[in-house]
This record gives sequence, structure tokens and C-alpha cells, in this order.
Amino acid sequence: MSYDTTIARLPQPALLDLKGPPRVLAGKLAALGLAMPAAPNSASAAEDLELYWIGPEHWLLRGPADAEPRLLRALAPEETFSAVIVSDAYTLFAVTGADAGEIAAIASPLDRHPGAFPPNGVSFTEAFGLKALLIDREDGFELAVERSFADMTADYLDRVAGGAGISALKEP
Amino acid sequence: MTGGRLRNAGGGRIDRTRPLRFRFNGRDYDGFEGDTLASALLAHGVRLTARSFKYHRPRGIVGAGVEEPSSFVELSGQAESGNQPITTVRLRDGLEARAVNCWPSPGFDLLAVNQAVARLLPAGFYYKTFMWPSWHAFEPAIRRAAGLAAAPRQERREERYETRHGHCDVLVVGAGPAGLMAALAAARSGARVLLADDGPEPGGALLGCSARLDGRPALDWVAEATAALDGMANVTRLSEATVWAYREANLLLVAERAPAPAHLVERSWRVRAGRVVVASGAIERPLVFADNDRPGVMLTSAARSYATRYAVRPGGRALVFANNSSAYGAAADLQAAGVEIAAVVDSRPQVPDAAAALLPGVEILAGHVVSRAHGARAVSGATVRPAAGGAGRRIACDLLCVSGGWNPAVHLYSQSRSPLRYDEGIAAFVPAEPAAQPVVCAGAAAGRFGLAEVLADGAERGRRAAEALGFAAPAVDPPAAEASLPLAIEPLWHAAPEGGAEGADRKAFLDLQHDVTVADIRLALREGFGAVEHAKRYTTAGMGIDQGKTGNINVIGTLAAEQGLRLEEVGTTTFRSPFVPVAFGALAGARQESVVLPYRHTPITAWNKARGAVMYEAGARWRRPGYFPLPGESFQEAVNRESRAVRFGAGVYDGSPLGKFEIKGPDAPRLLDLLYSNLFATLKTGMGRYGLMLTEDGLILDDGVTFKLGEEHYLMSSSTAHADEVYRHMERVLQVERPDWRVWVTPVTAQWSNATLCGPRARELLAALGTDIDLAPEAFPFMGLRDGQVAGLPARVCRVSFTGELSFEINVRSRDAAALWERIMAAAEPFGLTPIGSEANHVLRVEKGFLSLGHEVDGTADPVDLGMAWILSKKKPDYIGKRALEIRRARGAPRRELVGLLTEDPQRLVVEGAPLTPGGARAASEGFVSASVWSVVRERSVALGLLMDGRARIGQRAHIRIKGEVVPAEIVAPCFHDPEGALLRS
Repeated sequence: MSYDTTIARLPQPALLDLKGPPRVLAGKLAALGLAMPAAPNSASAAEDLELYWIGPEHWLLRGPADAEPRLLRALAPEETFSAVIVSDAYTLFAVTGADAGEIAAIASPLDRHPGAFPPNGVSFTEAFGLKALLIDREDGFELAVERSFADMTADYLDRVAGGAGISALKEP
Repeated sequence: MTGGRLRNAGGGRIDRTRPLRFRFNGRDYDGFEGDTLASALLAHGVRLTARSFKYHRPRGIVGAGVEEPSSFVELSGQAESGNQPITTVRLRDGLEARAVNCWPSPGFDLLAVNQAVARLLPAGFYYKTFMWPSWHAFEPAIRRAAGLAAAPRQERREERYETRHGHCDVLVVGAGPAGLMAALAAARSGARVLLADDGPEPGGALLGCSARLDGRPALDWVAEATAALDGMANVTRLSEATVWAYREANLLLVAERAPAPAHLVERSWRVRAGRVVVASGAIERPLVFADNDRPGVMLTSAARSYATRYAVRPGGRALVFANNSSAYGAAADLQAAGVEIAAVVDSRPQVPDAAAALLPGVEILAGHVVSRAHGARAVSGATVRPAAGGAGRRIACDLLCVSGGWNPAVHLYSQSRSPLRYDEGIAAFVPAEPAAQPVVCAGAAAGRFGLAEVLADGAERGRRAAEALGFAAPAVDPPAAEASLPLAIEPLWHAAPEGGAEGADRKAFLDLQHDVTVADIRLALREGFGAVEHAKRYTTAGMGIDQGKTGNINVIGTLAAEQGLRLEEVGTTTFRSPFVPVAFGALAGARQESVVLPYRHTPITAWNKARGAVMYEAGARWRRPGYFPLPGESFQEAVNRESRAVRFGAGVYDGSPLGKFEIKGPDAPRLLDLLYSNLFATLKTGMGRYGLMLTEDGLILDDGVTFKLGEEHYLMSSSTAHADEVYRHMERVLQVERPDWRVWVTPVTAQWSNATLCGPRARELLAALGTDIDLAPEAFPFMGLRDGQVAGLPARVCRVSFTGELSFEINVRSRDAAALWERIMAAAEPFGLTPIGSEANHVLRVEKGFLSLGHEVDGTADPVDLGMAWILSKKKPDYIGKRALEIRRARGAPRRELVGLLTEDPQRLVVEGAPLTPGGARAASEGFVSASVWSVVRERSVALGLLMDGRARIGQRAHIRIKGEVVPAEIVAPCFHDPEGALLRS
């Protein structure tokens, strides 16, 4: 009586909101081994880091929870761009399983067809009426919402998943 | 289990090996898998299935699908729902249904008394009759009498509704011959195709006739086409899914009544389509004559469908009344199913030989009309007379099949705001160019009726839709169809009795669903409601569930005939969604109960609840503690206790929801000086400044404190409620007005959480928590910001005050918020620290006279109104709102100004929002009470208000009007506590 999905509230990663001229940022990020994503609303990755192109002159850098100091060091000094730690500002949910796409279609009007959204696609969209960042994954997708909406998002995900999500929503 | 005495032993698309039991109006029946409730009842000879909307006349089953205008049912049990057309209810075992619009039953309906007074109940009678003392006095009773089904009483416990989004290149509406061909042609190009059909199985009109394709039964081809589509990964096919609305930007809404996931009862799709092919077929229209609503008067296509698709004889002896050639093939199918055809009455003077040849041996009465149906609870015969006039004769029948022509189902096309035109060749409205959105109609929906033409049109429309999106679509050959009769029609809008018998037009129904007759249209014309939209509203024709499926063209034809106009001169009314009834649950989906409205939590929401906080929304969807009542404590006692704690000891509150933004970049000071009315360029690092943001109109948009964190680096706070608006405002300035500035704004509202210590003992308490920040007033002055450690956590402490007391806002990363609060409460014991909610905060800010958005700032106030002229910089050349504010001020007109109000009775608390009127007279207000609280420092009620020319009236008396009384109050300065601000700076 439910969709075949597993839903998990993810542990908090390190997140840095980056804004500024891409050429300047490309130089800084190269030191971390990261290339700039090739197209808007897509991601690049290197080792334990991921970089999401989420708007005009706007990126989100993601790393493991303890990476904040390392990332800030690599980006310093901020001269002609902005880097702001937003690790605590978001809560991430991972939706995986055969029916993950069904949950995405219920939550969001984003067209996740490969022709419209690349396999490494990342985009701000609407999820359950809220602003959310959808990150495509091979086995499903991740959803980042403002932390204040995390409980409501968990409530909603559980409802649309047909009740199967309750136990999975606890932190792994 | 026979499935009914009128069920044929063979044929039909029903599964006789799967019998089903059901109950209708308290009686038990049986049917088969594949039946609808309508077909199963007809098989048992049930003719009387409903009562009409207004007159409660006996009604039966008229259609066989979504067009049904007469019989609606209410389902009970787990499937409880209302207003389902009886023809679209799929039979299932244990189904329980009852007719609507009747009590206790369609057979004995108390409100059938309305028939006797029908003459007194013409169109619009209730507008004219129920005027005194008020329409609302009568409304409940009238709605009960005229309403359809009641709302379901039981919640669904086991099944859920769902709403979801869908995307496709080509959406094909309808899986009849045109739709299947369109889907095949589009899908073979590789385009993503979504095919939605309202029936449980594809085939459309082919399901209800005996057509052949490629020399085989047409349904064999349907099965092959469907299998081909199902085998393609780029095709999604939905059954029992009605596309019910066409919105802007090619957004279409689909109600799927039997979705595959077992936990769903129904779901709604919001489909964004590249192009749309509407292959929704056509709907046969009735003919208009006296008593044309008697049970047993049925659309010819519906009768044919019952005979061929459900193997049910809808009557023993049928009289067919038509004005077009389509009825002949249908009559032949009825005859083949065992229904005797008494005669065919054709209003056309000549009947084509090819049509007559389909019914050898049947009497064809060309140039004749049916002028009246006979029978009360079921048709027993009809009067037939020459169309040109002359004596009539009565022909006995128990089924009167009518065919007044075909209306292409242009509803969705019209909903897309695309135009229609009247096609005289088929006497119907058809799609016209240019379409307002990327949509075309195909097949019968486009006014094409020959099967070969329908198939070819579908293929072509599907191919072109894909090609328009850049797909290379190979040609798809449609199957070969046998030649069919062309649709030859001569319109007939009303067949009146010979000599125009008295009152006959009052029983000649145009819109069966709303009991609208020819007489009603004539009345509308007499009363000046001749325009089609006026006539619709006056008579209710074409409204509600029907939305003009069966009745509209006859209404338009009648309006035209009565006024001597052509139909295109009358035009159509607006086709509206929903095309079929849609359950509210399907629209809401999972948005129920706790998630009906969005809600936001801070990291200590659970902590607050555990301490007994009364939580409610306090702006921007944040659920915050209103107050923390102790056992036995009233609301006011709790708020007083919390307020006193802050004034005389220490309190702590969670100020996390305040909007917060990091602003970086070389042009950050310029941005701040443009946004705020006061000067920010001179701000020193580690200090903050209070500012007001104005709209372009010079009115207050928001207030807040902005701190300078470093060169080109600031932290701005906004009000809770306006955080999103302030961010939008800043981004608009940067993206639209100053794209050349190098400055970046990042919202960090949820990144930081806080605990705000306030009260005379706040400094002691912060020191007790342990901090490396020098808390001495000179080292850490009012409006200062310091980074350091507090209670072992990295923290950013700000000396701002919303309460008027010494205050330290301890900000930590949200991950540390719970730990911070636990440590504060652990250290608080010796200080009597009290957590306070938003109610005490309100009291404290009112005592201090601080403004609050939504209270004093209501979108009409400017800074001068609130006594804040000091915040308007005279040094800056410009800031947003400056020009508008200066122009307004130069005018010198009196304005509502912020004042304090002290009621003459100090115990008297007045309701916030109460108007102030001159002398308390019942007159236009001169202001209002913006806030009213019990002051713990003044030990009396205090209030703030906006009063016309208020500052000049300080010392005088104002009058607060409350229901039933006038409360006098002294006008005072708007500050009741520490007007010098010594405490907050201490």
C-alpha cells in the first residue's frame, strides 16, 4: 500500500553559497580539484566535493560535514566574490528506490526526463509548495529545503510515500 | 446471475464470468464486470433513475458517458462521493448508490409537488421571489431543495488522494480512433506522448458500434494499436483519466479515477505539454419537444452503445427521431441487438436512400417530427406529425431515441481560449484558427465524422504535433475503414405540437440538468436577457456539471430562432472547467491535515513544546511559542509573569525567525544607503544601526538592524514577516536597477539560531554562561556585535533590544541551538530566568513604543507618521522612497500619526484594530488602535494607535468605538517605559 521508496533525512553536510564572477571562482575551485559545472543546473564533482550551478553567477559547494574550515581556507581571501557558509540553513532528504521518480513528480513540477534534466542535474524548484533544491542521483534524488521547513517536508514526504517513510525519516 | 432480463446472451464488452452484485436506491441487483451502473440498471429494466433539479420530474438515463445530463448518483461506503453521472460509475462488487435530487426515492419523491406549481417556478423565480427580508434567510432551504448530493461524511481511511505533475511532448486527449492514431504517429517520432482517455478501455466511439477496420472488427485494431503504444517506452497511457481543464501555458489537469498504485483512490495530474491533440470525439445532442425528458427518451448513440457494448436492450420497441443520417446506423445496431424499431421519424423532407437502406422494412417518416412524448414515469409512446404541419398520430414505444446532430467536444479547445466557428455543414460549432495555445482538435472533435477521415486526421495531427517540436515523425498509415454514411443534417431546434398547445414549451427541455425549457428562454428574451451570456445566467442553462455538453447548442439555436439570428451571431458561452465532476480530494492530494498550510520550526520547537508552550503561527509561517503557562495559570497571568521577568529580572526568547542576510562586495555600502532612509556608509566595523526601508511610495517596507562585520561585509536583519519580501526587494534592486554593482546578498535566516537574553540581569547571566567576550558596557556597547565563545559554543552576540531592556542576542549555528538553550537553562536557576513567548514580547515592545509590522506599519504609514523623521537622512542624495515621501510631506495634509492611548478606566483593555472616531460618533474613522496590552510597568492597560493629526492632540481625548459602546482614552506620547532609553543602553 505504498510506493517502493526509502526516504532518509541526511546528516548535515558542509555547504557554501558562492556568488561572483565565474572566472575568479574557477581559479579558486581548481585548487580544490573542482572544475566548474559545464552547464547551468548541473553539477561537477571531485573526490568528496560537489559543486552545483544553481543560478546566474551562483553556485553551491558541498563537502563532508567537517570540510567547512578546509573549504574556507581554499577560497580565502574573498576579494571579488562571496562565499557564505550555509551548512545549517538547509536540511537534505534522500529519496531512493524504484518509485523515487513518483515522489519527485508529486513533490515538484520539475521535469526530470533525461532529455530535459541531465543525470547530474541540480535545480532550485518547488517541492510541496516550498522552495527546494533538487539534486538528481542515480538511484533517486535529494531534496534540500530551508531548515525551518524540514519537519513539514518530512511530514509531506511521509504522506505521499504512502506511510512507508516514517521509520526511514530518522537520521541514519 | 443473469445480469438482467434485458441482457442479451451474447455480445458486448462485458465479462459474463465475473458477476457483480450492487445496490441502487435500496434494492439489490446484479451485473457484470465491464458494466457501468447505468448499463446494469437498464439491463434490469430500471427506467426511473432520478428526479430533475428544480421540478423534480421523473428522469431516466439519457446518455452513455460523460454527457449524461439527467441521472446523478451518490455513492456510499468506502467509495462515498457525490454527483457522479450514473453512466460513468464503473460497476464493482458491493457498489452502493442512490439517486440525488429526490427524497425518499425517485419513485416517491416529496418534492415532486414542484411539478404542480411549475408554472410559478420559471427561470430566475427565486431571484424575484425570495427578496424580503433577505435572500440569505431562504438560501439554506432552497439549497437543500435544489442541491445535488451531500458532501461525503466519512473520511477515507484506507486510500489516499494524490496530486502529481506530468510532462510530455504531445498530450493526446482521448483514445478513440483519432486519438489512437495521433498517439501512434507522435510516438513513432520518439516524442514523449501522454494519452489520456476517460473510459476504462480504449476505443472511444468504436466501443459502441459495429464498425470494421482492415476487414476485421474495429476493436481488434484498437487492441493492436493499444498494445503497440504500451510497448513504447516514450508513451504513458492513462485509462479512466479525464482531461478536465486547460490552463495557460499548456497546463492541463487530468483526473485519474483508477490509478495503478493500490494505495490511491484517485489522483490528479498537472500536465505540462509541448503540444496538445484534442481527440475527445463528439457528443450527440437531444431534440426538443414537449416532455422530451421522460424516462426512456435517450440519445440514439447511447442506446446503440448499451446494445453493442453492454449487450443490453434499452427498450423493447424503439421509435427513432432524428434530423440527421447518423441515427440510421445506430438504429440498425439496435435492431441487430433485438430491439424492434417502430419507425424512424426524420425531420428532413428527404432521407438519403443509403440511410434508409440500413433499415429495410422499417417505416421511415421523412418530413415528420415528434411533437410530444407520452407516459409519466416511462415513455409509452409519442405523437408524430408532419414537420410542415398537420394532424399527428400516436406511435407506441418504450424507448424514444433522439438524435439532433453532433456537437464536437470542443470544451478543452475553448478552455484554451481558442476560437470556435459555426459550421453550417454539420450544424455545430467547430474549432477555428488560430489557436491561442499549441493545440489542435482531431477527428470528431474537429467536426470530422467519417471513420476513414477521423483516422487519417488523427494520424496527421499527431505527426504534425511531433514535427512542430522538432521530432522527425514517419508517416503512419491508418487502417482501412469501410465507407460510412456522410453526416447529413438539417438543424431542428424545436418541434412544437400542432397549433402550439398551451404550455407545451414549458415542458420542452433544452437543458435537462437544470430544467431549462424553451419557455425559459422566451422569458429571458422578454426580460431583456437575450445575449447568450445573459441568457445563460438568467436561466442557468449550460452551467454546473453539464457545461454545455448536451444542451448548449439547442439553447443557442433557440435564441437564434426566436430572434431571427444566425447561430454565429448568437455565439457560444464560455466553456468552463471542470469538464467532469472532480473530487475535492483529488485536487488537494496529500495537502491535508497537518500540511494544509506550510509551517516552519526553529531548532528548539520541540524544546518549547516540551516546556508546555502554547504554539501558533507568528508571521511567515513560523510556529512560535505564544506563552508558557504554568499549571493553573491563565493566559493573562502567564503573559504578565513573563513580561515582569524581563522588566525586573531576566527572560529569554527565541528570535531565530528574524530574517538575516549576509551582504558582501565593494558596493555593499552603496546598496545599504540606497535601501535604508538613514546613512550606513559611516557605520564602524563591529557596530550595527537601526534602519527603515521604504517602498518607492515612501511608505515603510521594513525595519531592522544591520551590522558591519568587516570591510565590504554586512549582516542585515529584517522583520520575520517580511524576510522574503526584503530579499526580493534587494534582488530586484540589484538585478534590475543596479546590475553594475558588485554586491552579493545571501539569505542566512536558518543558518543562525538564537537565544536572546533580556532584562536587568542579562549581563550577569551571560557572564555566568561563560564567555570570552568582554561584556563591560564600554567594551561592548549598545548596538555592538562581538564574535566569541558562549557556553562553549562559537557564537555571535549582538546588543540589540526589542524589549527596551538590556539585551544580548546570542546567535549560534543552528546545529548548536539546542545545546545553547540547554546550557542557558542549566545556568539560569539562580537568576530566575523565564522563557518568554511572543505575547510577552508584544507587551514589552508596546510599553516601549517600538513599532511592529502588521500593527503600526500597515502599508500606509511613513516614518514621519510614526514620529521617526529623525531617520530620514538629509545628507544622502537619494534613497528608495525619498522623492515620494518628500512630495507627500510638502503637501502638508494631515495624516494619521502614532500616539499612545490610555483608557479612562485603567483596567479596560480594548481590542486591537478598534476604530477611533470623532467623539465616538458613528462616523468615518480618524484612526485605529494598533496595539493594546496590560502593562506590567504601568500596572494598567496601555495602547498605541494611529490617529489623524495625533501628535498635535496629545493631552486631548480620543474615542474608541467598540460594538455597543464608546471607550474614551487620553492621547499621550507613544512610549510608556524608559523614554530616554537608558535601560537598553545600560
